[in-house]
Amino acid sequence: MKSESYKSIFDSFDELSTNVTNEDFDKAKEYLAELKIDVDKLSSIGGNEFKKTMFLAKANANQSHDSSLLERLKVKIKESFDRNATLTGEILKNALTERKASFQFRNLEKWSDEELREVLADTDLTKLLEDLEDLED
Amino acid sequence: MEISKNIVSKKDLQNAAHKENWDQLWVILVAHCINRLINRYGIKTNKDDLVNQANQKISEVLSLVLIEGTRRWNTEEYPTFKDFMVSVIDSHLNNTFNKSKAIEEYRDILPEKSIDSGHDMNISYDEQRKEAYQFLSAEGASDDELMIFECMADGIVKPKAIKADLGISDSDFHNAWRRLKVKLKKLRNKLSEQ
Repeated sequence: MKSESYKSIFDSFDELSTNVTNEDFDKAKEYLAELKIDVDKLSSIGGNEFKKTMFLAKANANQSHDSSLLERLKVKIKESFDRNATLTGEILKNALTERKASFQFRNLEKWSDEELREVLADTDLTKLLEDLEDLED
Repeated sequence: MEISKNIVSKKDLQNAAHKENWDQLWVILVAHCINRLINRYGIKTNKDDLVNQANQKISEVLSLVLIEGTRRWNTEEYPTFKDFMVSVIDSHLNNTFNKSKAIEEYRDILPEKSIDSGHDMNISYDEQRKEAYQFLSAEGASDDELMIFECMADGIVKPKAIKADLGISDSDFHNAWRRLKVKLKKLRNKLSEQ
């Protein structure tokens, strides 16, 4: 970087100060100590914030995975019913708990994602999709 | 669209984040953020507010990087995860404080002029440099301090590059830098009072 990029000598001073501050943990601590800021408290916040973010990232990834799986299942269930209604009904009954098995699967395509999600809660979506795909063989 | 091979995938980015010591990295990022709030944006507020703002900004940056995945890490430009996070913080702060709506929102804590160099901008960079050098000499600055100042004035603003250029050890650099910093702050205060 050339000097022309700084209008004032203090701009380069501020930039070097910042780079020294974020060079490593000790330099950062030194800077915060000058401002009388409690580093120990910040450390514990850091650990917790990271865990929280990773938890949310995982939940987010699971949700988008489930949504795409649910979409594929909807299409597949409809196709399977058209092909073999009895067998498809059997597969769905086996996959779902008894309480939910009384649902009318034929109208499945009219269901909202939320309704479908509720019925298929606790169900292994990947396995159900595989079973329906096996039906085609 | 051509995708650079230096761009890290979301999964690798998360893996890199996992390997970090967050108790320490968070402190580094907070220090950086507070430094920017004070020096780049001229924010004048109490230390608790500074810490809260820094924590909040870094938390937002973490979400952008690890959940939304809207910030891409080019390892050629930013070799370490810390370098990458520092650059995302800089751009996030820039987005926050350089938008007119944001300026309205932060009006109470932002100074009238966002960047206050504390110096008469009519004086050329070279004149400022000469003036500062004379001040440092008069204040009894050591050779190491003066050499660091010359590097800085040349626009070399990475400690690693200065240490390499001058061939001085880490501890020599930091001892000289601490003293130089005090003198330059003194000069800045003197000039802003004029």
